[in-house]
Amino acid sequence: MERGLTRKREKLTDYRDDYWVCGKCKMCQSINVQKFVSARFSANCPCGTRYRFESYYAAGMMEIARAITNLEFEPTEKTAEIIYSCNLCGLCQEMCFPLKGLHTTRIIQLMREKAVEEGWGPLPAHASVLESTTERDNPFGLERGFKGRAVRDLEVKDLTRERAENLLFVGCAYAAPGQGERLGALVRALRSVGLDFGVLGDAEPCCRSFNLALGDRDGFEENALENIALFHSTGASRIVTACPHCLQVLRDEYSRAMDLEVVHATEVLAEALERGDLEVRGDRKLKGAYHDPCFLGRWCEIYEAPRRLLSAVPGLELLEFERSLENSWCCGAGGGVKSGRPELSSWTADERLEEANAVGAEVVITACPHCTQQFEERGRLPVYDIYQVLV
Amino acid sequence: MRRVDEDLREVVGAEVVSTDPGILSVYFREPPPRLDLILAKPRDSLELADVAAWAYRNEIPLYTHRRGYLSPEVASSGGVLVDLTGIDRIVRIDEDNLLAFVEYGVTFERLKGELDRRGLRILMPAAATSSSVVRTFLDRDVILANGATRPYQFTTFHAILADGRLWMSGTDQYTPDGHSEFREDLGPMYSNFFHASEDIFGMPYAMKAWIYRRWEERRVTTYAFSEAAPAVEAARLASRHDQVFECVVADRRYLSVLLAKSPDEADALAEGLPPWSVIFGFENHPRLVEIWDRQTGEMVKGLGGERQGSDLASLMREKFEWPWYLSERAHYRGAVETVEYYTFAGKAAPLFEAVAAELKGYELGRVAIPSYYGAAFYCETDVYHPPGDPDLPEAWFRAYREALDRGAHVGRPRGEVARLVYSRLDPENLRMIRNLKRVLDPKGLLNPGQLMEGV
Amino acid sequence: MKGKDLRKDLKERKIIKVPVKHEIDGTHNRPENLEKAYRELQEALGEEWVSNDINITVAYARDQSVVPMNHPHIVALPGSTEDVAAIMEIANRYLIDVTPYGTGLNTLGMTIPPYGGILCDLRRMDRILEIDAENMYCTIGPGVTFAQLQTETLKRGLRLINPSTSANASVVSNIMMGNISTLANKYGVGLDHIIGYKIVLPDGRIMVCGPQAYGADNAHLPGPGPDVRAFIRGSLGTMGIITEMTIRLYPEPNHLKLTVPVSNTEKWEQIAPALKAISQRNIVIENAYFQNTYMGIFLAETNAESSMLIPMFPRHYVVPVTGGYTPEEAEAKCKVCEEDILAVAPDFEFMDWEVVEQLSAGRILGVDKFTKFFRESVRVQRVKGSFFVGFGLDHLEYLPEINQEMMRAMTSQVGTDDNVISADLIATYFQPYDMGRLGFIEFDIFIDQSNPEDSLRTISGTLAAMAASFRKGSGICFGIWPLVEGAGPLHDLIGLIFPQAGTYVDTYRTMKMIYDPNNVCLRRFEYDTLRAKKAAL
Repeated sequence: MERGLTRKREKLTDYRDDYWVCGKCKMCQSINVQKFVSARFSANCPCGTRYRFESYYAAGMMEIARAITNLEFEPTEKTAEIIYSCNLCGLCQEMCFPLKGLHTTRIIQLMREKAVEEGWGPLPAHASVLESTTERDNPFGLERGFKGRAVRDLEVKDLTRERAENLLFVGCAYAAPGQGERLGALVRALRSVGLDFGVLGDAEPCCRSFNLALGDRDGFEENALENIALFHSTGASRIVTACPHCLQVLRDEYSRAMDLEVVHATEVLAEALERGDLEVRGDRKLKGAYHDPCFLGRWCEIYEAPRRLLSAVPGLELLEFERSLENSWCCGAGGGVKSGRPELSSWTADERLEEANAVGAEVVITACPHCTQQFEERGRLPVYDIYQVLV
Repeated sequence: MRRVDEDLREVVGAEVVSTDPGILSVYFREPPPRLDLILAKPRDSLELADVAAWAYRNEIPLYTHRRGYLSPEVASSGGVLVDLTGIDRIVRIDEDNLLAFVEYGVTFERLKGELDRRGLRILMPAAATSSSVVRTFLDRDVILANGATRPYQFTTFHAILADGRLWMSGTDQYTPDGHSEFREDLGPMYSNFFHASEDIFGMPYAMKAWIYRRWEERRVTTYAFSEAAPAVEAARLASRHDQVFECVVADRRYLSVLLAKSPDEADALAEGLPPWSVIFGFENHPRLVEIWDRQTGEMVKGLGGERQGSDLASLMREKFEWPWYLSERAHYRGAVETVEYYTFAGKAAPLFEAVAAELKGYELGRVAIPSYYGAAFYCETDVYHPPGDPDLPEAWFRAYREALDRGAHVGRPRGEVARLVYSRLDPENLRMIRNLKRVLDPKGLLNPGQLMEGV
Repeated sequence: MKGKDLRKDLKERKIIKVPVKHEIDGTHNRPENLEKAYRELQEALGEEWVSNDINITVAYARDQSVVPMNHPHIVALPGSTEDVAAIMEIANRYLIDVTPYGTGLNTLGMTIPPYGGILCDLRRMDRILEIDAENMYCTIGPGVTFAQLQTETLKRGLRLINPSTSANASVVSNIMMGNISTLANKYGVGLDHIIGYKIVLPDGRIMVCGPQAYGADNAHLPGPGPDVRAFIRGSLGTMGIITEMTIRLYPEPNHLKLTVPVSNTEKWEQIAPALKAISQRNIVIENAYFQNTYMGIFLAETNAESSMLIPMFPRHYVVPVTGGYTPEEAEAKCKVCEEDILAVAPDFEFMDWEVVEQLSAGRILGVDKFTKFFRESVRVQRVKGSFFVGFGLDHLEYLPEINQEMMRAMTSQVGTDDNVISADLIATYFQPYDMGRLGFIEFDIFIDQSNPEDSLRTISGTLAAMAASFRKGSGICFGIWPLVEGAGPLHDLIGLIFPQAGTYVDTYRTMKMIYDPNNVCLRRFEYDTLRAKKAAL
């Protein structure tokens, strides 16, 4: 397989200037101080806040990166436990990079790649996820065929046979059993704005965002070039993703090798709303707080589109979390933490739901299937996918 | 055997030392039945150091005269009484940096004379027991304008330790004279232990006191209230809004005694005063004084206060210029005793009541002065009583205990109250005081038993 | 060679290095004692909150200072005063050093354990225990940061001092040490903000200071009697670990007004009079002199933006912020300030915020954002995370000269003329104290830590600048002593040069010996522990 899908593969040591200069200024340990609403909800790093040892914050992970590349000690199970406690939510880098210029989240990613390469990562609990992506091309252990079933009754074009301007990349999470209502809502919304789109059904590959998150870049790149060829073969000029994780992979990782525009569905719908093409209905009063998914917000910088859409929903009073936009707290599902460190993952979600309570939200609305599922599992507040609210 | 006083005379000079009972007895309320005490009145810090070193070498206890009368047991202690007022130079007035480097014997009155000539001022104490600037400020005596500035009014001070060594506080420890003059020590600020310590750690002989400019416009206004609580609230708000320089809340009796020179004059004055008065002093740029006067007036009105005529205001304006000595209020019934503490604004009025309940039958005057922008209030109940009233000590002690039980903070307890306060104090806190005492005065010769029992 | 093989190879050649400095006298931090202490700490604090794993200790081994890296042997995260007392008790029993760690943010290596031992990370104790808005105080744990507390106090119409440090610094640690603040002129510094505290002394005993020490209300004034609370200011953690602190809060005016007198001429002689004029009148809340470098830091979002902005701004600033109960009052105070400044510093003019907004092409907000940064949560650190500080204390009229001297000393170390260091990388800040009676000078040199040459030059330059400042007669401050003690022979020298300081230092050392006879609490001193135990008896 050809390596270097999007760029020359980076090594951890490419960032030695970053992890050597980290001065422990602690900017990576809270949200932007200018945006504090309360002391209670001012922390930014789930694993650091949960375990409190410096090593669980970005500053500590920089030291681990420095020490293991400087051969000060051998990585151990503990090293893996620490670096796989990170959700890769990106908030540390959001705080650090503009002023200090350090790529903290990127370094954590590269430590994971090093871990996989050297055999001390990921965590044992991640094995089933990686096996599932390799064997069945989805991270959930689902048998092949579920993607076809998910779109079968939605009457959308099949781009393996038909042509459309837009390829709707459904993603494994939205295609998984139980997500029919949400996917259906998205399809109805897209159709209502007159978008010419189709899907790949069972031919749709997994974006392998999980492999990337766990440091398995080989696994991630395994089928990437074939996937790109497949996308090009549909004749579509644009890919619309439903899931932010797919969006990040297709837009950022595939971009150099792929000549297709990649957008998120909320961007398409927000544009339609602007044009007056999207009619949003709502029939009941609701106070909802919008949770910025890390991969939609910080990773892909899409903050406004979902808000514009939700602001248009009649009866919906759109609330903001105290930590919102660039400062949003993670749901706890990302970065392989849900499978690798379930207790931390649940705690992180509970923190967010407590924050939702604190701002007076009756429901939480988000735009990522992983966030939605994560909050739903905690069962503390009703959770809506943004597409459900729109339709 | 040589007499010890002769020995001391030889060391520091005969003119510094006295054993004359006539001279010594003025330091005591009653002439002591037995006088075994040497008086040393050094004229500079070197003489003071010599006295201390001599006493330390000979293991003779040293007592400093701090205020009022000494307790009778000092008279028969066989020690040396040090009167620091002979060290009395105004070393320097730094007009540019607003510091007056004064020695112990410099009084408010004398310094005021020097400052007046330069268009400067010093903040005056409201319940002074000493005319010494050094003593008053180091003891944290309450000052007028407590709310608008900071309660401490000096940067560095210099002291002689029990064994004659020199102690300089803050940056004076190591910078050339005239430089820096900041109050913080090089590390842990042990110099602050000397504050309100009854000189158990060292004998302070000089200080760099804060002085102030006089600004273009000065105005004093007074407001009448029928009750204490809204009057205190008015003072709290005016301080919190940082609009007043001096700020005093006082009842009729306190003000009348304060402003009069005799009981008759006080009684006559009292007739024209409301139950409670709030007095604001403003001093700054004319435009600001105008705004502050107007805005505090509106605020007071909202609390039910009424602006009074200019009589009281002009009396107070003059009064603010001078120290308020506690002893000057003795004229009313022959003697005066105080119950004083700090508390929160909301507790000032109830605590006044609680204290008064323990002092039934006594003529009382009450005053409250905000501190730290109204965050706390200095509250003082003056008990005007005939000298030697046998019942007073017990009632006075009960009043203090009542105030303490209700959370009052007595910042510099003395006598019986000190015993009560220190008995409640965290034992580790006490240990810290004892330990520093042991480090600086291992023989325990400087002011033994003056701060608390055994220290 | 593949990563794994390379590592194996290196290991065989024994170049894997764990930089833990070993105990010198062989009595402290002995391996068998560490093992026992570790088990007991786990029992006392819970297994979750104690670790001796190298993956954990490594994160405490370095900061942005020049102090060499060193690991603690054990990291403990106490959650209460009792936990801290247990740590100190165990440490004394097994002779293990304890290094207190607030939020771990400092520029001087003060939380790097000199000889390993237990690192006591206090971040779990991050609760705001009480805010009394009417009586203007609050009680907090040592893990509470300025940004957290400021946020909560502002909601109640109050504020705390804003430090010239990162907003994520621990309030308690900062008040105990540096606490340089733009409010220092009006409200004071360090101890001036402390009402009382609870502390675990080095021997594990718990002490309460301030009015709470005898059950009184937190009525702000020191006492009773000797000001015992003062012994912690400047101790840098050598005298115990604070677990709760009650600090003063200050009224936040309803209305604010900022005026920014600026000058681009080198008229140093006008700066001190301008600062004094507004400081002495006591109508300003914030008040400082600084240079355009800080304008870049306050206004820009990134280093690049900051570097772009700095040359666009005039060099010299005096920044008074006035407040008022009404807009009229704030406005009038501002006007008086302007008049006072112009009377003594006619070369100053007043910055037009519209121009500032234009300069930044509309991207950077003007007065509101500046005011927020300046007043609430200054973020001073930038440029690859580090800066060096030269500092001093003196009367305001001496500060310009000290600054010039520091600049000369610095440039003679790192270059040959004054232009070697650009305005982007060096900046001076004068902070009036005590209503204009003196001032603090901070001489910041921002460096790129990833450039070793730059770092070395900057370090030697900073030392030269500090020496220059001291030569000019300025004071040093905020508990420099424990640091100097760490520097060995300097201590004896200073005692010889300044005998008065010698008396003070002897007192400090004896008190330290009494309270820490085993010499375990932030071990920076070397003393005869047997003698210390005798002193403590």
